[in-house]
Amino acid sequence: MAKHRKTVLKPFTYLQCDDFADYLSAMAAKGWHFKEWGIGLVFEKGEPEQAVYAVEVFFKGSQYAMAPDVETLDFADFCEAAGWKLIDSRQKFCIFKQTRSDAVPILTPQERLENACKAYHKQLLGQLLIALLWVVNLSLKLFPTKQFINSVFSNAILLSCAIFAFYALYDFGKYIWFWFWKYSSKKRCESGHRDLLRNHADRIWNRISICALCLITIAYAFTVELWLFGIFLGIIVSMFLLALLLSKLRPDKETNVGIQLLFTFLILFAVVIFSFSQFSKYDIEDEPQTVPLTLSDLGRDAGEITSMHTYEKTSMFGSMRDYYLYYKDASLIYEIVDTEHDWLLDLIWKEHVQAESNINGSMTDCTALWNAEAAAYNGRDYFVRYEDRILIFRFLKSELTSEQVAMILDALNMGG
Amino acid sequence: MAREQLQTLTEPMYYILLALTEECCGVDIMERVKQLSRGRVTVGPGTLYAMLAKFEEKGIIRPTVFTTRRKSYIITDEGKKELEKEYARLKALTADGAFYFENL
Repeated sequence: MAKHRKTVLKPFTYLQCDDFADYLSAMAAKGWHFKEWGIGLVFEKGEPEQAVYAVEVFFKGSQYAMAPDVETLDFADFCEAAGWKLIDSRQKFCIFKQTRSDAVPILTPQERLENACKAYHKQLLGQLLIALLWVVNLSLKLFPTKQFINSVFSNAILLSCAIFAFYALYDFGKYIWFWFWKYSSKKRCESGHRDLLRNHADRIWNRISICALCLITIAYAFTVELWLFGIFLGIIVSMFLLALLLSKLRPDKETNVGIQLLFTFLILFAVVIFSFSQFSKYDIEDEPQTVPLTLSDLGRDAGEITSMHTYEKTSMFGSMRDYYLYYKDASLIYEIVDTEHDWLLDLIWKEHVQAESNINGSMTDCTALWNAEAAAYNGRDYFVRYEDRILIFRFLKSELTSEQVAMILDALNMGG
Repeated sequence: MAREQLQTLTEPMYYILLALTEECCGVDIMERVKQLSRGRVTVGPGTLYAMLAKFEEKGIIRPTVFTTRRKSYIITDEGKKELEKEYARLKALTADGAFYFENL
């Protein structure tokens, strides 16, 4: 049975109105006539026709309008009187079909260029604002040294930083490209060119964005924990479903904004709740055998562990493991950083030891006790550096003896 | 608007205001402009729509009739002043030009 209707997913930007009109004409010549916007462009089968379309950017249109509103229909009346029938509109796009061969162009080339550039620029500004947020987020994760140390051992954070950096560059790059395009289009307009709203670059920008999203999805799948990937995928799928819903419902702009705000709130809420549930999943019965060191390894009998928190991060730069063990009347808090990068060990050593010296005054050297490259003690905490490892013990009630140090190194397979 | 931009009216603006010296429905203005200019000036529907919105915002024209989506407009006193100034300017231009061309 022959198809009478089909939907095509083919995105166009405000700077591609003439490409858009040509596409619709080409489809009409094959017998597919544009009917309306649905999930994509909806075409109905009919007789092939040499139809002329005009795609215009309505200056009073809204980015959130999914269907013609009162002002668009008012505008359509003017155009119909001049020989252009409105087929459908979405956001600021209005699609007209010529009904009279002597129809006057709806807008002058200058007006078309101005409307399209204004609409496109407004969209870009929104994206640029998000790009700036990416840059701020990236800076907060990387530039204070303490944050950098926390971030560098997490593949998820490193990947997120790479993504932030990519999208910031992408959005800035697109913004700069737009100004060059606008300048050259103005010059072409002044020299009498008419079909100005064409460009191939937007197709390239779209493809870059789609490829990037696919690569990001794959990278997250191989890099982060399953629950984090689940959140990421959940957000992407939800956004896609929302777009489908809005395309189907075609609400007015106020309802559209309301739906999107509600959706954003619900997604954030779900992410926060789900993340908390993952962070609080520590089963005391299962964990002790995964902990490298307990108080009994120090020769101290403190009874059973009453509660415990462990944080482990691994990245291509190494690993950072934090352990918080609580007993009835004691606790053991320590950190193990493993990395082959000397510059990173230097940075961590400087950050911890220098910070401690600044706060608590001079530290006691105990390199010989640990048989390490460097070791320091401030009366409460030990900082120990080896060739590719740093150990930090915090809040110890008393100094460690050489026997206890030997037991620690043995438990961590660092003895001899 | 003319003052803010070039201190003059463009041809389409001039003819639209001329057309609105009599009450006219928005969609009929295009035809009136064509008649007044003897076919020399045509205004696209999008151009007209945008200009009517700007003229109304500046108080140069005002709507008179609202029927569903169809509005009629007429020029205001402020608009008449703008039109008269432009007419005087154009008269001065042609007078200066006439002096030059007749003495060639």
